[in-house]
Amino acid sequence: MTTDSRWNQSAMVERMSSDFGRRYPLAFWEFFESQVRPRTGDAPAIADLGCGAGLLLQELSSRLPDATLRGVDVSKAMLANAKGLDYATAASSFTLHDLNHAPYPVEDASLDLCISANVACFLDNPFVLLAEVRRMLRPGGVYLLFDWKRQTLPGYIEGRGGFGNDPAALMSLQPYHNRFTLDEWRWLLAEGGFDLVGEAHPRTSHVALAGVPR
Amino acid sequence: MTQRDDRALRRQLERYTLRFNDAFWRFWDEQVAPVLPPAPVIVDVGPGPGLFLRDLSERLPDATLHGVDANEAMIENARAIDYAGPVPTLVLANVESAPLPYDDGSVDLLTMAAVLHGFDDPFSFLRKQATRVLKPDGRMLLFDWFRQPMREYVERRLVEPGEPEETRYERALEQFRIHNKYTLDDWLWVFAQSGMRIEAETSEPHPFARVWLLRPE
Repeated sequence: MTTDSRWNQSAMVERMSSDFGRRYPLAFWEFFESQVRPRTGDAPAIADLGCGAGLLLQELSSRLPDATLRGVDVSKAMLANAKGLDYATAASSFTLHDLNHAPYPVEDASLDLCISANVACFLDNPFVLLAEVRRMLRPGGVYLLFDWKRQTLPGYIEGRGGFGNDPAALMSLQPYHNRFTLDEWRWLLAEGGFDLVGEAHPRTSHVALAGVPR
Repeated sequence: MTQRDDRALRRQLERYTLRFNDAFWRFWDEQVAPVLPPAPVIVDVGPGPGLFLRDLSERLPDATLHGVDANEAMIENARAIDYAGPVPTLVLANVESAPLPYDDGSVDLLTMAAVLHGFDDPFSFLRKQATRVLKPDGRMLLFDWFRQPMREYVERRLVEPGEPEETRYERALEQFRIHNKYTLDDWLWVFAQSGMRIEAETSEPHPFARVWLLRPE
């Protein structure tokens, strides 16, 4: 998901699709299976907030074929790609919405699992997202946040493959990707009314946090 | 002037003395003024409403002053204020996307206050633009923010002037990513990558900022 029209949407769809395995490595799914899935039941209602090209929902559908899936994203190009994928689940729906603005197009207390992956760091006010997740989750529901965590500047640039031919393009994302430290993510969840029930670091650059509304 | 420009201008005017305070001018007197020639050519990149140029004009009657800013409202304000000494030449240009409009090797001091962190590519600006326009013994005076823990940053922004009270919290969250782009170590790495060495520095003017006097290596 992106919130900025500077970034080429069709190129991002292509990159997200071809790069899915690297972005969601085995360690992410081990965390999901051990810390998140035990709380969702076998037929959960799931929303991927900022679902992008739909690859994450597609993988979830193969792991939870009885789930009901919803995807929300601000990009028409992303949603078009997501809608065109094959899902193992019977029910899936997709809605165009800017996650900077509440209310999100999901009913109160209707979800067992909310996911935001590489999204919260881009939002003007992440507390809008957290408040909406609290509203949409059923009692006992769980929130999975997977996002960038702050690295040193040389570490960040090296992790993204170096400056390349266009340092400005690389660096334009740095304020978002390097916005919050691990401690700040934990604090945001706590301030947003969540108890932390799981944490993992599937990538050097990323943290996965599981939270339940307090 | 748009509402956004008006708000930005008001904020800059209200916050000027928080940045350019006694501690800043002490650093200027002790570290910067002594290395300038008697009639220096000074370029302020991103002068905003022109208050720093106004103060330089008063302090340096023999200086030649320039300012280049991408914001028309800021340039208009800078043109409208009174200068005790030399009146700066002001140019409307975005120097992030176009070269600095000054000749090679023509500038004694290039100043940037709370501007460079906003550039997507500070490396190219320092290495190619700043270094190009500076004279062989020219310097760069950089005032810029370094990263704070989110809670401390937001709490301070909630009491600083320049924002309506009802929008301060959201504004603080929004600005957090831009003002906290670089840690102090990140800045040092940016300078090293860009061929700049630190000649003098101070942390006294502002708890979230550092002032560096830089020189191309």
